[in-house]
Parts: sequence; structure tokens; C-alpha cells
Amino acid sequence: MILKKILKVEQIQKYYGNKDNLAKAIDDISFDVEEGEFIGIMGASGSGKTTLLNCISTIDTVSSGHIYLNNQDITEIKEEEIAKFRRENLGFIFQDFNLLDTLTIEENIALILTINQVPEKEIDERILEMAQKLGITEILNKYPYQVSGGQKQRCASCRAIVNHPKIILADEPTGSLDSKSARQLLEMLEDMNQNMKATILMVTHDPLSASYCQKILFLKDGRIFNKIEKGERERKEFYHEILDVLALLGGETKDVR
Amino acid sequence: MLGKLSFRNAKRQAKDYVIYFITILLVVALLFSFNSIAVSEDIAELSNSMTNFSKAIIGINLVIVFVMVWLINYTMKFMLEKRSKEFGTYQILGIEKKDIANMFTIENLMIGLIAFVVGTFLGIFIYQVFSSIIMNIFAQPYQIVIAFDWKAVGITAGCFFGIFLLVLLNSRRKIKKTKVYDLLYADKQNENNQIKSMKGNVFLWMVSILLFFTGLWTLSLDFLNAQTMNGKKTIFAVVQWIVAIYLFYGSVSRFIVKYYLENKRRKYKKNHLFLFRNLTSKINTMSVTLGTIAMLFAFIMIGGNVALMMNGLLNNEIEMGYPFEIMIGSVDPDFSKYKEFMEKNTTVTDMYEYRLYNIPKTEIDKAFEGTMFEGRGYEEFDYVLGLTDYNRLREMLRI
Repeated sequence: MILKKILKVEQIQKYYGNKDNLAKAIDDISFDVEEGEFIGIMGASGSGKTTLLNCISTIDTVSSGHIYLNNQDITEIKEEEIAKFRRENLGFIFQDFNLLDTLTIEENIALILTINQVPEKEIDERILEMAQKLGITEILNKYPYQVSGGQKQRCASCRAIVNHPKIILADEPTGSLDSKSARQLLEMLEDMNQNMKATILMVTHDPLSASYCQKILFLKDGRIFNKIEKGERERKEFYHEILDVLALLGGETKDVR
Repeated sequence: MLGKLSFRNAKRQAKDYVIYFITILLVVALLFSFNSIAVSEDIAELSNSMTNFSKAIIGINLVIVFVMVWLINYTMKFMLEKRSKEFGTYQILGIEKKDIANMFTIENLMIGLIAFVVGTFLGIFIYQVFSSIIMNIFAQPYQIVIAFDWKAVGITAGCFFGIFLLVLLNSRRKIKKTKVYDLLYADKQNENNQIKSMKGNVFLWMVSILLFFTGLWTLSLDFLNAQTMNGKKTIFAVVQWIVAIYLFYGSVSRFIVKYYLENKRRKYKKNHLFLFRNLTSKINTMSVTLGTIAMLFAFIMIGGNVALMMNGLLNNEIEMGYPFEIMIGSVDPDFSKYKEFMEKNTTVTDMYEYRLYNIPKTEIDKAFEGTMFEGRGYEEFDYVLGLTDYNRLREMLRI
């Protein structure tokens, strides 16, 4: 089976500063993501991983190079079309959830469907269906401040997937969670990937989180340093390989729990 | 859904921004009550010079409007900054910038409208208080009537919504212009300090001091000759002072912050570091805020002093012009009827009758030139009185 390439990153660079004082946050990165992949990006802080995610998610712009999502070049997308592009193609999961405080969990999820003009009749059904799958039916009528961090992140994930985006971009999704909630969330992401065919790109510095991915890119100083794949191995085995690479990468082993 | 969202946001905002809401409300109430005074016919009928009074009220309105512009702009900017992450989230979810701007507009219009309605009703009562004070000054009987003048409502609405919409349009432009990256990471940014060098600050400080003095000088030019005074120079002086006040606060606050942060020993003493770093992060807004408050205080003090001075001047003039309780002048030398009347109806303790003689015009009024008595002489004659009469009158006044 030939898998469709959903994301193509071609030789992108991102500079900060001016001529005299140039900082390269991303220095010539290229990679592809296929449909249905769960890919992780790891690296120390300052390695450029969040910048890379920001560029892919249209939050930031690249200095040079191209990013194709579903064959559309997002580096050349027009300002007027960007909102439409985002709501149709991208799903986001942030470290600090970014839920809207004035809306209930259900309404937070519904919002994304209403702005995509899904018929009203369908909205309720789709939310319920997805909420059941993700185990958040009990909290649908609560407000974000009434639920725990783990539940908030589940809600955010539900919001990210409910409209079936081409790719889900997750920036340190477990960063604000305790280890139990983090594990639950990762299992949920894995489930979303395997059973709902979601393509997920996740940035993390946590080896445990990364071990749920199928493929991991390691960044160092804005370049791809290494690339490993899980293949048919057990998660534990993969976890140890990640630790080995991190040891090689230098400095990150102190984060191992 | 978006409508629902903006309604909820407005509701939450009304709770979050109680101070903002109350401030707008009070401003509207004050503006409305002053407008009511300006257009009130009852008050206009009090005296011929009341048209001047109405003009002065309109001047006060201008000041209120100025404060309102600043206040609404400041708070809306504050709200935009506070909610930048929320707006960033909207954009990331794929809501069009236009819709986000519309949502913000609807929310603010709802808040503004409620503040306007409540403020107007509050203004009716404030107007009652003000007008009863004014009526009291003129010793007029006054009944409280809930008067509702549509003209005043119109002017207030015009001012308020005019400003509100302008500021709102500006905010909309900002929402549309700002990149999503800046919105999501806005809380991590500081305001940048334009003038970095100590010398620049000292220079600006000196300029501001200089402007204070040139302002004083310009003002004194206007007061040199009361006849040619037309107020243009006074306005110019006020403009100089406004610039001077802002420059002063801008430069001094930057200078102080710089002074403390440049020297590590001063910087790390007690909680200096925390204090001054907090100040620098918002230094531009802060110095403008300080400048505006200082300016308003300056106006209040100047206005208060001028009012006291004028009051003193007028009272003095009454004392000088009419030093006795009752003065009767007549060409008919027989005062017996008046005396009889006064003895019946009043409790006069001392009474004195004297004569004025007119003599041909002398040069005496030249001596009064340039004093407040200038031009008070009669046209054809000069009047004189006997020395004994004069001394007796002085005795009555105990001088």
C-alpha cells in the first residue's frame, strides 16, 4: 500500500535577528509525514522544535524553504485564505490547552464545527460520538475551570480531532499534566492515531511521551540530528532507544523519569 | 455560535472589568448632567450672563470628552492585551480575523450601550443635584423635577458613541493587523524603551523645564495688558505646558529607572530590582498615564485657583463699590420719607446724611488711570464732599 504524503517539509530555514546578529532557529530541515503517521519531534530546549511546529502550523513564517500540506504550499498562502486553511486542515493541541473559558467543554468542541459550517443536526451527534470515544461524556456540560488539567487536555484533543483535520499538531501536550494524566492522554493520542486514522505531529522533550510515537526526529541546533523508527518493537524497547539517542545528543538524560 | 460567544464574553467582561464599566458609566453620567445644564432653559433664564455660563459648561464638556477618549482608549488597549491569547486561539481555530473583530465590536457595543443607558439615568440625578446648587446660588425656589432633555441625550450620545466607535475602529484595525504569533506570545513581550541613553533623557528633561518657563513667559505676555488680552497666548502657553508635562514624566521616569538599573549595587538593594523591572516593562503606558493624571491635576489646581481668585475679586469689588448696608442718593434734599420708612422696617443703628457738590471737570481722573477706578468718573463734572463728611463716613466704616 502506498501511503499518501500529507506533509512535506523542504529545506526550511528560520532566522531571527538582523544581519549583524543572526540566530538560526531552524537550519535546513527537510522531512515528510505520511497519512496516518504518529511522528514525534524531540530536542533540547532551544533546538528549534517549537519553532518548527510553529512554522508548520502557520503560527510563524519560514525565512526560506517550502512546507506542503496536502499539496498546498503553506509558505505562500494568502492572508485572507489562512483562516479557512487552518479550520479545514489543522487541529491543535497546546501545552496550556487554550480552551475558551466562557464556553462549556461541549461548546468548545462545537465551536470548531460551527465555524466549519457543519449542519446543526450533525454537530450534537458528532460531539457525542467523539466524546464517548475519548471518555469525556460526563464533563461535557462543565466549564474548563471546573475540570482537571488532564480532562482539559482530553477536551482539547477532542476539539482537535472532531473535524477530522489533515494533521493534528501537538506542542508538548503532556507538559502541564501529572504523570498519570499524561499517560492516559498519550494512550488516547495513540488510539486516535491507530483507530481513527489521525495523523499526529507531536513536539516533546519527554522520552516517555515520545515513546508512543512511531517515528521520532531529533533536533539539535536547528538541524535534524537523528531519526529513529519504532517498527514492530515494543514501546519499552523503543523508549530505551530514545534514551540512548538522547544520551548521544547530550544533556537530556537528566529529564528521564 | 459566534454571537453566543460574544454575548458570554461581554457578560464575563462586565464582571471582570467592573472598574472599566463603572468608570464609563460615571463619565457618561457626568457628561449627561453637564450637557443638561448647558441646554437647560430654567438655568438659562436665571441671568443674562448665563450664556457665558453655558459656554463654560461646554468647555468643561470638552475636558470630559478628552478624558473619555484617553480612558476608553487605554482600557480597550488593556483588554486587547489581556485577551490577546484568546484572540490568538480564535485565529488558530480558523475563525476569520474579520469575525473576531466583529465579535469584539459587538461585545464592546453591548457593554457601552448598557453603560450609556444606566449612565444617563444616573446623570438625571446628578443633574438635579447640580441644578439645585445653581438655583441655590441664585436664591431661586427650586423643585425637583425629573427632567429629561432629549437635546442633552443627543449631545451625550454623540460624544460618547463618536469616541467609542473611533476607539473601537482602531482596535479592530489592531486585531486585523496583529499576527497570530504575536497574539499567542504577547504576554512575554515588554514595551521597548525608545530613548536608551541617559543623555537623551536629560536633554528631554531640560527641554520640558524650558517649556514650562517659556509657557509662563507666554502667559505673562497675555496678562501684561488687560485691554489687548485675547486668550490666544494663553492657549499657546497651555499647549506648551501640556507638552512639557508629558516630556517631563517620560524623561524623568526613564531616567530614574535607568539610574537604578545601571548600577548593580543600587539595582540589587532591597526589592529595587523587582520594582524597577516591573516599571520598565510598561514604561511607555506608565509615563503617559502619569503625565495625563498630572495634567488633569494641574488643570484642576489652576481652575480652582482662578475660581477662588475671581470670587475674591468680585467680593472685593462689591465691598469697595458698596461699603454701606443702605445707600440712598437723590437730587431731592428731603430724605425724611426714607428715614421714616427705614426706622419702621429696619434696625439701622447709625445713619448719616451728606451732600455732594459738583465742580467743573478737573484732571483728577488722570490719577486713576490704570487702576480699577479708571473711567468711573461722571462725564461733565467731578463730585466732591466736605472733609467733615468724609471723616464721618470713614468713622462709620471704622477706618
